[in-house]
Amino acid sequence: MDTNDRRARATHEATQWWNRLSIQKPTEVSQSERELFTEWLRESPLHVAEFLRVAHVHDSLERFKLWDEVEVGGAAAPDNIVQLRDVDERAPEDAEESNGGHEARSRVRTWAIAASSCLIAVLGTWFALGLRGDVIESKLAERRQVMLEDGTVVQLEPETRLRVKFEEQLRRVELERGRALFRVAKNAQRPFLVSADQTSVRAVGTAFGVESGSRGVVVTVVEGKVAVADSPKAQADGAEIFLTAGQQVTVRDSGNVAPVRVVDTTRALAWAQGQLVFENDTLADVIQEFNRYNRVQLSIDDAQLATRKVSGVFEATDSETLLAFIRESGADVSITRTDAGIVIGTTPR
Amino acid sequence: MRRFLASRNAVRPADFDDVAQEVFLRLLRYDAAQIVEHPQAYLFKMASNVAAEWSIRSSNRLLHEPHWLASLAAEDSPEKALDSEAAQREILRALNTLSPRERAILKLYFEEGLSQAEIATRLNVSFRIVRRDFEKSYGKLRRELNDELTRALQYGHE
Repeated sequence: MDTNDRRARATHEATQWWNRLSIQKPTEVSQSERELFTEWLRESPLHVAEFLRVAHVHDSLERFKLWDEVEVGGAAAPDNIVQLRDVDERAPEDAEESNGGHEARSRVRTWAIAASSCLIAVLGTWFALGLRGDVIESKLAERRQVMLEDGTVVQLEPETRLRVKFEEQLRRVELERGRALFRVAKNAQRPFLVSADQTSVRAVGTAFGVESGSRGVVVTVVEGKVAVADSPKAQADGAEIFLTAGQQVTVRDSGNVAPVRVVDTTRALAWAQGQLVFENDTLADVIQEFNRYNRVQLSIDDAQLATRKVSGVFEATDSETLLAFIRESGADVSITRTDAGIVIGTTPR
Repeated sequence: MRRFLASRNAVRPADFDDVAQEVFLRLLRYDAAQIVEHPQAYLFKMASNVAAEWSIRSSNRLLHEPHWLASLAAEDSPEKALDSEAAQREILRALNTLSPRERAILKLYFEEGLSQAEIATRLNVSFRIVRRDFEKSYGKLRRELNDELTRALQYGHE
């Protein structure tokens, strides 16, 4: 990226921060937002400079007195002429905004900020998958983004395995294990079907996450609408559950379906931005989850410690913070670094 | 917030890059946990301190030049600088490079004091459009506004 690009990008991010911190709800800025903002400032002098410049723009507008002379054209009228005036830049986005695409867009932007701040290296790779039954796999500590032949983008979390079988009438993907976020390219003539275990998720053009693990299959919709069937039979019978943006459903391994829940998708899909969210999970589960994202493996050598409950949000690749958190949670915790990894135990009394 | 706005005025736009360099270094020296409490306040305070320090240095150096003293006096009040006809005209010119909707949004915000949500209702567009236009227009104005003409910000301010 050359200097101008970096400057332009910093300006763009600065305007977003300014808007979030100073315009929208200055009194309701959360701790985590302030943390992200501080991190962002400390990343580059360019960020500091652009934020100061954006503040200057705001100052200038605050002291501006000639608003009467500012032409607003037909913009205030309901059917405004704005779109005609600069159709190139604006029209496609607006078209999408009007049918619900904006949720995902702003989320993508939030993710972009989070990702750039946390320096999560998600490797982007273009794959031309022409053959049927191609396998896409991610290894331990590997996250990757893959574009399928139809333009759908799949984000694979570590230790995830997908099988892609595109047919003429149907785009079929089997999630054999792990979890992935799908941003499905729109094509009403050719539905997109993700199956995990016995569960299938059908989408036309939308974004959703599917997780296949010990809890069963969890489907979370970010954008658009999907149909979930808990068995091939249910799908054949049309006995599907419809989920819209912000909804989540869990299909247990046994085949029983939990009620549809309304979730905060940013949180429910935190893994898609490289964050792990725990709520009253055992330390053993937390460590298992961390180990999928990191080469340095953690282990516990104390059965009681393993059952200790942990809640919190962590960067998936930042096990040091997790260790500090565990250490602070009890005086009796010992952390030993060995060639094989890091062992968490209790200090002998 | 008012107070931070006031202290921001200690920095001249032309010096942003230099000031930012120094502020950046200070930000790294501070404890992050402390900054996180009020990041904006810290940022503006540091910027204003840096500018004040430089102002002392440069005015000492140039004290004997009457021309420099006169220009300092002329910029005594930041409000005055932005109130100047040239500055107001420059802002107007820059605003007119925005799209009509962006202009309408800024006008409703700054002149009528509406919130972004209220603006969305008034213009019959989604909240996200308002927010995006807001951000976009700030980016455009940042490139468009002539620093020299809008020099609201000055050295030596408290």
